[in-house]
Amino acid sequence: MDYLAVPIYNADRLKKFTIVGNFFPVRSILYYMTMVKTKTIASDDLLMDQLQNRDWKQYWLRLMARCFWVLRKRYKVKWTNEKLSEFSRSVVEEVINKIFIEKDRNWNIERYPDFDEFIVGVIDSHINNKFNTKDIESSIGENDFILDNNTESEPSNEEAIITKELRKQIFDELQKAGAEDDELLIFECLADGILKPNIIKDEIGISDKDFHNAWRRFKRRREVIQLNLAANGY
Amino acid sequence: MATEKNNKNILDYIDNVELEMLKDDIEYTKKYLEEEGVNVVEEQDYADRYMKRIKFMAKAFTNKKQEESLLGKAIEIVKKSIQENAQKTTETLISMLQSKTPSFQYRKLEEWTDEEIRDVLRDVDLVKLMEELDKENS
Repeated sequence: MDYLAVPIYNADRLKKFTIVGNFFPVRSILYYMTMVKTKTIASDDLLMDQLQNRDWKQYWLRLMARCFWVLRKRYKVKWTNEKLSEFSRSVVEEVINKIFIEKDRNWNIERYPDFDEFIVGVIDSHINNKFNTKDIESSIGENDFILDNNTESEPSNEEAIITKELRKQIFDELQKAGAEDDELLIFECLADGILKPNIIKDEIGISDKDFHNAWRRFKRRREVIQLNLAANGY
Repeated sequence: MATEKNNKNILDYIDNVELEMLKDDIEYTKKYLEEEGVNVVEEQDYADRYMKRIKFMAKAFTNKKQEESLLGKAIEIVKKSIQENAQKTTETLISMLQSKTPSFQYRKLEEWTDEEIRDVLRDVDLVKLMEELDKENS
């Protein structure tokens, strides 16, 4: 990693970036400078608008589901449903409290014009904090929110390559395992690199409800795919 | 605990599509949570209660902030007004206070400390007071 020697003109603010003595990673300095330049924090009115005009009963479920997904997929937790539920609820509560009451998490509207993007990022970051406080303190300022580097990214075309042979092999294995036509079509869409649920649903030509059911059956066949990928060095 | 980052493959595609559905599709989200053992109706009731509390607290904080800001402005105006016309300002303030608290005792405003003015102003209609003082001074 590259380091720059910089004068400590605001020690309190910069001490979080300290790695060795008074040297800071270039990335951290650039991040700090960028944040200073682009800091436009949402007004109280804007926050109140989000608070008053959202259907929080529905939104709460989305945030809970996000927590479940992050914990299961990124952190690979093997918790009971109860523990997962309890933890996720506490994350959602704490994040909402930090945004609307304590104002510990500032919504930088220039960086995140969309509130959804902001709150989801805060949730990811808060989970990260809970798991690994030291790591996060060295990269993110106390009050300024920035997406952590665990955010999902779509695979590039290069990464998406799955050989014709392997594709056929997995298809056959899924079929052998009892996958129905709509599940096989979902697999074909994924293998073609289609990652938008609505497009997959339209490609297959089924209703929302049928797609939900097909998807839930398909994802339970994950192990079949995993075994075939592993056997082929993926 | 650190997140595991594997090479992207079809399994990541499955996860990405699922995440998209959780973002945009509330019906799927409900099913997903149910599969994870969440009682969706109970969770929504809990959310409703929690958010009512948050909305109430947020509103209270905003009101307090506005009140403090108004109070700060009023104190400045009263102090300025005392300098310009202490007698008239005292009369205006006292009449407003006496209409609310008839037993209020008259005392010369120019002898009051900032803290005393602040305490007294908490009991009057600040907007009305500022209008009155503004009229007198214009």
